[in-house]
Amino acid sequence: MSGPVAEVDFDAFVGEHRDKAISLAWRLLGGDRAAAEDVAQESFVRANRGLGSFRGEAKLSTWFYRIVVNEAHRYRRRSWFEGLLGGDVTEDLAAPECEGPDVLLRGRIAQALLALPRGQREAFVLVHLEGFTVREAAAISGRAEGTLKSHLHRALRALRERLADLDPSHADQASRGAHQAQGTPHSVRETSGS
Amino acid sequence: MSEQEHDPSNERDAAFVERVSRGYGPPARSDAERAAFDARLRERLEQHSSAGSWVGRLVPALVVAAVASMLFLVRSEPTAPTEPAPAVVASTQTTKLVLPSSPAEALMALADDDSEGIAESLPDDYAAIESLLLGS
Repeated sequence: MSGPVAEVDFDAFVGEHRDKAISLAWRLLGGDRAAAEDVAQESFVRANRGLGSFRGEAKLSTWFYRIVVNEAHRYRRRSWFEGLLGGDVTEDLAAPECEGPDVLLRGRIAQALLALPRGQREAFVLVHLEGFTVREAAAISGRAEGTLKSHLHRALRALRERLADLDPSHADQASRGAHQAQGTPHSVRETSGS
Repeated sequence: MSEQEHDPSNERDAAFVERVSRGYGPPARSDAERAAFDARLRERLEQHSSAGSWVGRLVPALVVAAVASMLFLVRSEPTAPTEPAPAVVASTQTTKLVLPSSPAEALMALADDDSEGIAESLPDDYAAIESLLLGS
């Protein structure tokens, strides 16, 4: 497919992709709402500039979400350097609006994701959290499908180690083991994270 | 998500992913928040278009970088002063270096650079043979 793309209604484009762009950036940036909006806005600005030269080699949405992923990475790298120059180097998660187990769980998942290498984090977020197909995620992240599947497998394994209490089979085994040690009847209990 | 293209290897994976997805998602956005986002985006687009192209922003930055490099090279020529170089602005305790705030100022500073201060600071033995080197 080549040649100029038909004129795009940019307002409609924003309306169609706004929520998903913010959600994707939010998940890539550890739940920082302000950062996610900043990244989404910058992505739309870049898309607005680049639409004129977009030749339709890929789906417009794939092209746009690749901008979002790259912009999120750029934001994290910039924050890291700024931290070296004088701020706190640790990841600055958004302050929770209220305390509670949900916010704490969100923080744990965010930290676990941010601890993953970039490729694994992006693969997991794109496929498992944002619902892109493996083919779409591979195109967005600029990787081969085989590589993406490998990243997915490793990400899942690493996250299950860090978030073992969210793994239903792990909770079940732990409970069974504890009851066997105590000599009490086994019963399955649901855990909702620490 | 298509089950044909994305199929967790087993139910355990699916259950774990479901828990992570439920526990880690952005808060829902209201129509007012969406409108506010769109308004900020419009402002940003207007700022970008009024500031000119990225080339227009890059050129002055390159000029300043080039001039700063030239100033650094000029001031790093080896000297062995016996008295303070007059080009340096000295305060009671520290030495102040005044940086140009614009390309035009940087160019003017280069033009105003007093290189005679270097010759005045030559040690006596070099000054003594200066006339021989100049062939007088």
